Amino acid sequence: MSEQIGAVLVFVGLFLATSGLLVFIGRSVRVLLGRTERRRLLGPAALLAAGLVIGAIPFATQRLYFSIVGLAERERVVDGRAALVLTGWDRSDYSILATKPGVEILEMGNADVTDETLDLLAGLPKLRELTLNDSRITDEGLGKLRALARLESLRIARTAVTPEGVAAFLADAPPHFREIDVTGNNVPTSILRKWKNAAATGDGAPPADGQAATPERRYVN
Amino acid sequence: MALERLELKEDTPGHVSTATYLCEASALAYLGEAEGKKAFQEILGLDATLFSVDNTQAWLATNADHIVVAFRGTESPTSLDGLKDILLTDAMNLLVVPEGRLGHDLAAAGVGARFHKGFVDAIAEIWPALLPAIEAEVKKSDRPMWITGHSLGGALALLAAWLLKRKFIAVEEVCTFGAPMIGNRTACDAFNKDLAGRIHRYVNGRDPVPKLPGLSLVANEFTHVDRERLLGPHPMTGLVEVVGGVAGKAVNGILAGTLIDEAWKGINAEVATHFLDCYRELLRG
Repeated sequence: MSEQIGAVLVFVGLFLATSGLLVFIGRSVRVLLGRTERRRLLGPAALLAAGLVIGAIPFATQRLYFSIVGLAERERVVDGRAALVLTGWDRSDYSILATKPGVEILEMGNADVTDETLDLLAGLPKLRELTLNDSRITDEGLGKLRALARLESLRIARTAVTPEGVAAFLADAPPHFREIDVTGNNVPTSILRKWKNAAATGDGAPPADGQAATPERRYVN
Repeated sequence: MALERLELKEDTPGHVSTATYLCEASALAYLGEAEGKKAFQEILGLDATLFSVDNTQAWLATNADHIVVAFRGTESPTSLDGLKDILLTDAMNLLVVPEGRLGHDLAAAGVGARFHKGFVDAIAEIWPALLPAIEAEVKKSDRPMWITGHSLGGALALLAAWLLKRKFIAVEEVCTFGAPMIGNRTACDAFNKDLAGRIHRYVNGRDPVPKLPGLSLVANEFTHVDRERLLGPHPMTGLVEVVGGVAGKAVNGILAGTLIDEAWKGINAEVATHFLDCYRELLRG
């Protein structure tokens, strides 16, 4: 929406500036030939300037917006669940999580996320889906995630976790846990496959609710 | 036509044989349902199903060893119109992040990530039908997943790969042919990280489509994902240009099978050099 307004402004600006420029050139020639007075150049020059200013408004406002607001968090309700995206934001204060206790889907794939940051997750009892790709979490942080009772899906691609840490986590994961992305961590596929197949054969930790169907487990490595 | 040599090569990213195979799949994606089903079976040995929602079409093609998802470029390959709309109409060129689950999965690339509205709209149309079908295939038997598409289809292939990864479904390789740009730097950086080494974006130096869209008028500039693989000595005719002709001129060609021949010829040249290089190395060793 705002982009469309911006586009219109750019076009209007461009149109005015071009018209101004053309008239300006035409009159300049006439001035050089002595057929008209110099002050008659002022009109088209003003038009040109106005066009440039109008055309620049969207770019300027965007710069201004980014310099003031920057890249803030993105908060939405997705299929009835509170989703928060902090990945790629330009802030560093994760205590914002304390103000969002209802978050069920959290994207936090940033390099400044450490094991300590994960302590804040204790305040998110409804968390189901968590992305920590490219963060600095280690096996210690992974251990903390076991306390997330509702956790189902986890992305820890390109982090400092070890195959042993992943294996330990999967062996004692939250009851509904079923999806993991460990891309780039050199986790042997055998560990993941074993965990996946455990659900199919029923020796994995079964859901506590007494639901008959074990949900399908998935991994990406 | 030595099409028996077409083969998907797992664990060897960017293999020319894979590219050849997927290029073929991208070409077949332009066919109608009955004709395409037959061609996928005969040429690639795949059991294919067409998914068509409004202006977006994709084939889900499988056999015992592979799952291939091939996106069609534009509904009507007889003209560039469909593509023109999507690449040159300003309203479509806006970089956006939509709402809903799909929007969230795209926003997960980063709060600053923006995507081409036309492509996002197109994938959003077909995703609710296509995703469950893909999931069912994966559940049936875990096989390497290959995603491909020519032109607009290539853009959709990239988005699909990202969305599948978000669904914890591994993607073996994405091959696009003459695909345009899909998003801004933040978006592409995220794709490059998460699908590192899995995207092979075949481009002919003379193909104009990969150079589109130019830039969003207001927000962020479009950029490409890695990694580009230029075909042919730069101004020379290569694979993409031949296949690229589908959108412009050669719909009759493809229906008559001559385009496939042409594409195969173009690729064969590439294959040949690879073979020669291989042999040279072996002889040297």
